[in-house]
Amino acid sequence: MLVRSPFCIGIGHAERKPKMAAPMRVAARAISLYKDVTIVRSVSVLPSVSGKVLMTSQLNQPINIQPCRHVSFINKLTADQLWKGVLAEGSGAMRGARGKRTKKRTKRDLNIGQIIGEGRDAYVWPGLNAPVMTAGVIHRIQKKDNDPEREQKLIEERDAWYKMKSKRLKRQRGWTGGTLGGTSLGSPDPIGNRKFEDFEARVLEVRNVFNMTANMGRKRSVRALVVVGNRKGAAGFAVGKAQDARTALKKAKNKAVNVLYYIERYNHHTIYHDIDVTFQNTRIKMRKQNRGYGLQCHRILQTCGRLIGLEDLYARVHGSKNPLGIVHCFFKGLTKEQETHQQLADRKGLHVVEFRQECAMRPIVVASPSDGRVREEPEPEDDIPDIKLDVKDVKKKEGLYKSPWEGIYRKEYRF
Amino acid sequence: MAASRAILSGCRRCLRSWRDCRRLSPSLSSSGVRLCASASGETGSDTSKPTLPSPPDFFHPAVQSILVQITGVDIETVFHQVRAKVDPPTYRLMTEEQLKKAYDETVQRASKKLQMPPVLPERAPIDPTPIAENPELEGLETSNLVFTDISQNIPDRERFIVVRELDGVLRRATWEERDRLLQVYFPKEGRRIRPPPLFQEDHMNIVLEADRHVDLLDLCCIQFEPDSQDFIRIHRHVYEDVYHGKKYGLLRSTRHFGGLAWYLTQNSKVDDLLVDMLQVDLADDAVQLVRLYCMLHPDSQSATQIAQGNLQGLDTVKAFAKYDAVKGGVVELAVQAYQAAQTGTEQADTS
Repeated sequence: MLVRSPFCIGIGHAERKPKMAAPMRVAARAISLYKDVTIVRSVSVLPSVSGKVLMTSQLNQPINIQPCRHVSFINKLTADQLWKGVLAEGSGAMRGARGKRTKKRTKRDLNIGQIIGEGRDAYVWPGLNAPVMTAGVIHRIQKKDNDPEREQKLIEERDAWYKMKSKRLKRQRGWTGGTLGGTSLGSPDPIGNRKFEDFEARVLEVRNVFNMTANMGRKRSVRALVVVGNRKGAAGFAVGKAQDARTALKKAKNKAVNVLYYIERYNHHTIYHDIDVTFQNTRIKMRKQNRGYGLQCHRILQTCGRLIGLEDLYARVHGSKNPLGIVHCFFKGLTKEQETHQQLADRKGLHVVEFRQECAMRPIVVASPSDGRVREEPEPEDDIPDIKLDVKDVKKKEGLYKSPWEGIYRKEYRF
Repeated sequence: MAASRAILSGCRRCLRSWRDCRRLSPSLSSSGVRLCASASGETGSDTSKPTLPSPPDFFHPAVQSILVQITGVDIETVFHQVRAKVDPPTYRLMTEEQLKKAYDETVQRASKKLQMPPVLPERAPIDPTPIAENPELEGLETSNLVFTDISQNIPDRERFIVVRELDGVLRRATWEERDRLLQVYFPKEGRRIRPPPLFQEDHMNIVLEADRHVDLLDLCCIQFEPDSQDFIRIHRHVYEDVYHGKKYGLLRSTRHFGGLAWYLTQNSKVDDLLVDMLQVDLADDAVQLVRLYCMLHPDSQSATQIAQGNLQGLDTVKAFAKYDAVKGGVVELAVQAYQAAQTGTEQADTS
């Protein structure tokens, strides 16, 4: 406001000074930097109206003359230019000495809430803040009623705006506080009429990648790995790359929903059988588990598993722990290397019979050949079964090894 | 499972000892535990009516076979899912033949698990006459002293347990005291020294409202000896609840169904059970039940009619409905409905 109406610096203003709120004070300090200069220069007399009042009422008192200059850099320069002089903006200025204070100054828009034509003196300016004519009568410039609380309202409005702006959006917590991994991105954007409201996307990785170009040199972009799923078996993952993280995440999210896999689940809670899968240098060992076991695996696999709709699974990642490699390997195992009981029964031409300890090992037929023809000769069983054993599995069975995570309840990341 | 096995073996053991004590009652009384002559009283009542054949008892092979048959073996009920910490399931690929073999094996295991808890008359109270009276010991102690023979090779029923009262009287311990002390010296898995308050009448009703009849009976079998007063009282209460609520399905394919059928037949309350059997397509069971009724009530009208007319199959049920059933009309209707349904399904099959 000061910048817009510099002619108001005078006695009256000096009295108001203590009332000023924080943003006003900043501007006032900017002026006081050049105070010496104003005193040396020639001083114009106070505006005639206020001068008269002084003369008549306080004749026998010594007159305190406040130097006032009507033309200076302060009403010649724009607000941006003034701010630039005070703050250290840009990479060059950052390196210099200016603006190196403990408390960081920030640029503020002091015009918030001001309307052109509306001022402290409250005039009607036809064509500016009022219509030129109504009902054939031309309006003239005339004074309105003064709003005594106008200044206060302006300050409040400006403060409210900056307060709102400075308040940080509370971001949901993912796996850790610092990174975006594990946070939810909501459902992907609709494609045409198809909406994906039942799908949810979660961030797995956000990473800076660089490319050397001829013109710009080292060019930075952000790469995001996102998995989407509807918790009912349909899930997909994709990588999105962009100049900033937000766009990269959005790209990845909308791309992932175009590459969906359908993953078979046993009784909607676990996998059909144990799977050992390799993708490049990543190996994942997955083990079928009972209801209530939970997802006991790498945090990336936990997130993927929840979005797929798996509830009980043990998995161990060996080898490379590259997030993209892990996800790729997991999906490969679940889609390509998993076989449902029905598929197994059809392939072998035999009944698939389940034995559960909690049901006292009674035979439960879970799948029979779909054509109804069960073959006569039984599956050959060697004395020594041809199974590749895992050391940890054997030790677990013998009771020599127990996972430190066993029995630990983990809450799902739902916010 | 381990607990239930322990109970079964315990029941078998006490059944054996109960039979032994019937046979060897003079030697038993000489060895220390004198029973009031309940066994001799029973035999006396048998001799008073020599003209009629006496009804068979619970352990008669014919009765047992009927009870086993009407209990049925539903594997899914017998080996129902229990809460336990277990390994993930295992899978096998099987031919029809292998599957049948595995199934038969399971049925065998199930029928072993369905062995019925014995139904026994209540044990006679122990003779309270003092063994010795020593008034000079009066006021020596502040509480009763119990002396127990804890040698390993004696059956629990014949163990010598005596109590020295405060006034110096030495007497044999009562059954309740014996049960408590035996649990102290020879604890059985799952049994408590004092019975839990669950077995009080009003607490039992809460459990029965939740349809947990089997759990209650299982616990009862663990806690009490099969000829104790509480055992009989609780079983009767549960059977009455099943009878009034017509919840026969709850006990079918469990080891308590035989006891239920036995109780209802003895007290002539089989009408609803017959109707229930016919409604769930178990006509053979209904016929067997009528056979059991005739065995237990040989002097009843339907028994004589069936024997004279040499009736077979559902005709026996009809005869029962006609002569002895309390709700004869209902049973008759159920038989007719069953026969109508049968003819209907046959027609559907042929067409």
